[in-house]
Amino acid sequence: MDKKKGTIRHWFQAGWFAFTNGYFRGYTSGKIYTGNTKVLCVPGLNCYSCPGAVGACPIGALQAVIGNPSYRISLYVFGFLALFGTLFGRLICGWMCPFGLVQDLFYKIKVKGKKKNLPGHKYLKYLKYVILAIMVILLPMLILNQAGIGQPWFCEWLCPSGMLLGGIPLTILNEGFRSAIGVRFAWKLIVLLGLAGCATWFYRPFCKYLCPLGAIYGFFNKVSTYRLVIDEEKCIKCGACQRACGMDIKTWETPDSSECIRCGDCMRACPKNAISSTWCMAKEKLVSRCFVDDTETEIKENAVVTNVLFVSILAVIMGIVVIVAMVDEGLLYQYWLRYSLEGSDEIGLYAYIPPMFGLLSGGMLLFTGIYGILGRQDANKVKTLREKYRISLISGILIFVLSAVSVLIFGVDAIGGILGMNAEALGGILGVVIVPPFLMGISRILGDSMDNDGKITKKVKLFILYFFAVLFIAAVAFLVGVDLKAY
Amino acid sequence: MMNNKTRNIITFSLLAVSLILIGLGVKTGEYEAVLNKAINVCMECIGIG
Ligand code: SF4
Ligand code: SF4
Ligand code: SF4
Repeated sequence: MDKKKGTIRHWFQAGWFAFTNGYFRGYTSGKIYTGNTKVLCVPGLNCYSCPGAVGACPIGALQAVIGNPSYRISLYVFGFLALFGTLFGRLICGWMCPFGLVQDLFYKIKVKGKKKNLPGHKYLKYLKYVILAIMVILLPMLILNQAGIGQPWFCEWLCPSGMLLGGIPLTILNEGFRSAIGVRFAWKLIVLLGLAGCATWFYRPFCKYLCPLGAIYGFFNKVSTYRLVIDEEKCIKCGACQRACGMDIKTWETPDSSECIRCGDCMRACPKNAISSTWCMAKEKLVSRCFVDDTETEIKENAVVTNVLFVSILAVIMGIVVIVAMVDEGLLYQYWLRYSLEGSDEIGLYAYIPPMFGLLSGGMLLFTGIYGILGRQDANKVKTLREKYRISLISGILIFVLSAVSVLIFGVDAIGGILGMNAEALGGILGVVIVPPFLMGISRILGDSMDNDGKITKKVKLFILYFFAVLFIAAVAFLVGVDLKAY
Repeated sequence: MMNNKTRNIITFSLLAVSLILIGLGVKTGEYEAVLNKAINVCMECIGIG
């Protein structure tokens, strides 16, 4: 089981990357995506100049607003950083950052003389705060050109994510960029290659010493909803957790260390099972949810049922909203466009496809919700599988928050209609909203076929595959919808 | 160490604050600056110029 859980993390990282960089046409055309979703920040260090990126990099966006003469201080981006930080802390680093994944993969390369830390680790780890203060905030704010605009210094001189996700693919795919390569390109390439080499021998050197985003999320580790909990009674202070930890943390002493990327390796390494994780709950409650055995009491069982009920009700509401919106904003709007505007013959029947897709998903959402409400008692069978429960909960929370934020933001940019949001926004919300209720439904269906001690069976693998399949379909539907709208 | 209740209170207040910040950013039109930056290739990011 141990190894597999680590593997799940890598699959999640890859799936997340595909999801947030899913504009496939970008990879063939050498142009970046220009849709409205780019108003939203993604949690990880994911360059917006990546041809596939569908969101904005928070560090890039922060520098852009700070360097902008009309603002200088960014409430908006700090809001996103605080939101992501409070929800996840550095769980983002362990699970949702493309450059974290890249370094993890390099560290897998088998070479002699691997070490966790660079020499001078004790002091070097503070370097990232210096970079945050100077390159991300002060220089863009204080050094201005004639127009009063500050440059994004971190992007310009240091960020390896921009080079890897943006610079390399764009110069390969786009003749115009290729012909403009100069000294800075060479410098950034050297930085990237140096870090990649370094990451082969040392664990995540960029995250440990340089990344300003990791530094920000580190502040939140102590108060984020996701935390590690040590059971003091079980812990024998053997240090197995620290030996397993790539970030070299004494987990039993500082489970909320700002360096912890919440990868979960320590939990697996602990011989006494003394480390567990929680989403903002008291420890006793956590234990009741995750380690239930047959002797547990009734109240504890109901906790799971209540959760299923909650998500199911949300699914029903969202299902109805999506259906109404798709009929009103999608089908009727297209119909109206087609027959009331001149020259609208060019719109073509394609335009009906995205709303039909949406209608279908809304229907499924509604169905899953009703199904979940009716069968909620069966959820008691789910509780024994800690792994599965966690996956559904993490994705559920994540996705509903994302959708809430998009409603908030796109609501402003409205084109009318009863929901006050445009079709693109709806597509985006749809893409993210459809997943969790499905997860719940499917995990419930699979629930009774799991081992009691949480072993991962074939069905769980199937379930994870299914999860990514739905994500993938939702992303494609969304992007197709946006693309068609452009014609 | 903080007890759990204090921590949860801080956490939820921070969540509220973050949503308010985002809301304010939308109101002041800051989101447009972000969108504008994000939909144009950033020359600094890709090391050109
Ligand atoms: S420290 Fe930075 S690069 Fe590393 S995983 Fe976190 S956000 Fe990504
Ligand atoms: S591995 Fe477990 S028992 Fe050993 S020190 Fe860490 S938490 Fe305590
Ligand atoms: S303390 Fe545990 S979860 Fe945190 S980085 Fe180390 S091994 Fe990963």
